[in-house]
Amino acid sequence: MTEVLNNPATAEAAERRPSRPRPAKPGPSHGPRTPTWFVVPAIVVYALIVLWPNIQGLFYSFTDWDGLGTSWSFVGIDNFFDVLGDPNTLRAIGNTFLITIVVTVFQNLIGLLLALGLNTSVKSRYVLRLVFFLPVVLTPIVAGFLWKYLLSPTGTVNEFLGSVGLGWAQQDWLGNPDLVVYSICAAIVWQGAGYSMVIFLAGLQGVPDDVLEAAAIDGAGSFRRTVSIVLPLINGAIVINVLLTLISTLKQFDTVFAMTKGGPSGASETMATIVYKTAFTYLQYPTALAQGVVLTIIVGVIAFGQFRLTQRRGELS
Amino acid sequence: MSLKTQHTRALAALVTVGAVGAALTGCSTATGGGSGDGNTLTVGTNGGTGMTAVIEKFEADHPGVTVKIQDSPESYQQVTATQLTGGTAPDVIQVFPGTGNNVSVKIAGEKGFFTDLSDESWVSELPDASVDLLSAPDGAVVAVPMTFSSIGAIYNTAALAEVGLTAPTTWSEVLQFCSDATAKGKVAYGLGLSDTWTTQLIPYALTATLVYADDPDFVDQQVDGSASFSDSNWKLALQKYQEMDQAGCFNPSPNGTAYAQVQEAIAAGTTLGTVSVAAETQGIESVSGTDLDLEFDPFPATDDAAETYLSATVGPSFAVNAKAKDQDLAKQFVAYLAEPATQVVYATAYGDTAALPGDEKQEGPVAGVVGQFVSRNTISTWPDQLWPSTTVQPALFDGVQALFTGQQTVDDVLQKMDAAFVDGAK
Repeated sequence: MTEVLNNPATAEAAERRPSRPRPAKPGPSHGPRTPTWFVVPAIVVYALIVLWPNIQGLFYSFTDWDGLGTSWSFVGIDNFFDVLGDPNTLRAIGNTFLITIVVTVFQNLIGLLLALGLNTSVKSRYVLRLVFFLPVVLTPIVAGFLWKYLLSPTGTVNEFLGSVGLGWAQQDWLGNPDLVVYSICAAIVWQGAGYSMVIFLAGLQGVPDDVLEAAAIDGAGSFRRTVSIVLPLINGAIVINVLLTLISTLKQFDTVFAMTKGGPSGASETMATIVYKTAFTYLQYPTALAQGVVLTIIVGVIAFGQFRLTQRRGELS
Repeated sequence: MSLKTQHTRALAALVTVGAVGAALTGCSTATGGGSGDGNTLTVGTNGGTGMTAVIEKFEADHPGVTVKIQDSPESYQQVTATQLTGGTAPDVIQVFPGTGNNVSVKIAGEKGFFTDLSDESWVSELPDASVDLLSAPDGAVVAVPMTFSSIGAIYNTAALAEVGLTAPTTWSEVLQFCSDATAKGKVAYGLGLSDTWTTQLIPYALTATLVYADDPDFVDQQVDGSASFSDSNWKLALQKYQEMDQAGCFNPSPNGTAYAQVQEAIAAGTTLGTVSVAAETQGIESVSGTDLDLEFDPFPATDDAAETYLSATVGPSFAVNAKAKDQDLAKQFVAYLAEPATQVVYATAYGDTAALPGDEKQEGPVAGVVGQFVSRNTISTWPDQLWPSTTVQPALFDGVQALFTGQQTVDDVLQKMDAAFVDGAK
């Protein structure tokens, strides 16, 4: 290293090498500086309506507060023992993971296939993109109620199956405890696939045409080009999609609650719905808060793990 | 940065924080009780249909007074419990009789949130069956009842006539009714268990006769450990529920069916009836969009019609917030609510039976039936209003759904209810 520094030619080259841009110094020559206290109102509002309630929630998860009045006493981590020893909560955690895995896989797979199909020169591609994106603009609660009626025993899905001679396939989609979770997954995927498709489409726009043309000239078929060129080049979009789907599905509430309220008999209960029920149906606020803390930790650990994994690979950059 | 600039920025930040804080503080007090100043009375309601129908006359009788309804039908318990804790609840508050939730007479009453109304003149008119449900644990009456809410069978009269059937009055007739309805291509009783609150309706209707008619103190016996769900006629009630299912009384897949679909089916006449709360006569009629002719009857549990008890209890009730600034005005309003004419107007709009009708006559498909049972004192209170824990009812909800999926037996369900009861009674 010393040798390099003592070599005039190398030193000169180093001088000519473009240096990393430095942040502009504040001052009159760089325009007026934005006053930092502009951010104070936002910080105050955020602290009052987000941070403070969360801190309070964490605090009360260690108490026996009854939700009415201001009296309480510390119970240590008893509420957390109750949560982790409750079979209904454990089932809700299991359902949450099951829904998360199924939705993450299928939403991204379908979104990717839609994006690949619509990233062509098909004439109706813009209309089709709009059609597939339309479910995204519905609020999840509306989508949930819509699917609740579509999947009811006398709903459109069963009627359609009957009308095309598939009466044997008619099911009690939301009343059968073995099917209900997958029915909910279908509704979530239906609503979210368009969102994933848009992100994949954005990634596909960045794939250079000349590379694909060169591969085609070299004899690579469309499947080979997709697997060997397109997918590696849209890795960033894949990572972002997976991360967003994971987080949004882990805390899924609206669709599940609208479709089944966690039933029948808890068969489709998720962490989010059981937190709601424990608080507002059973009125066991500290236990619900402890469940909320557990849910937060689970979501946080998974999101952080995924983020670190992708950061290490440099994929997000 | 000059000292002057620093001071200016610090002052601006302080003003901003103060302004935001003041705005938020303003938000929190503007909606609350304590706004009663002799001219304005705030009333918290869990669905304002009945109250809207009666406030106009009060305002006319009290010139200069405005009654403001704060209606929170979707989250009334949460909103009101938070307001009570924060001291911002309305002057007059809709409360729930007995125990059951944080805005119930006994739970919130124990914490002193309600004014003692024991000395009001209308208290002496209260039906015996309602006094305990409207009293705080210290015995003080704290709320005026507006209706008796009951559970029974609601039938589409035209649909019944179309298939030549009449409402059953005994248990055997119920099963025959189901068989006849099926033969005519109709569903006898719509069941939408996807909405969990409906799971309890038939068990409550049946246990009114099978359990609580002979044993009105059954809940007290459960508390002292001498009785349990498992060793009582609750078992028979749930077995009868299953018997109805096996007899084809219900629509296919009740667990996957929403209650709204049951309402629509009754309005359309494809389903003849359902077992529900009496106020649902209004709900079903509103779904139909026409003047639907509905019939309300007690739901039989035995083969002796004279043995049938009606599952009925005190419905919406109103208490005075102990922190209301104008206690006199709030008490005047509650006394107005207790007047027979007010009661009938409220109950008719609400779709149920007036709790204190006096000599007033109430029209409609429900009032006559319920009135007979109340006057004969052949009513059984909804048991959940006396249960010591809010976890017993969800155990029943889950249990009934599990019965219909075959995941649990009657014994399983009752054992879980017993466990929840014992846990809650500790």
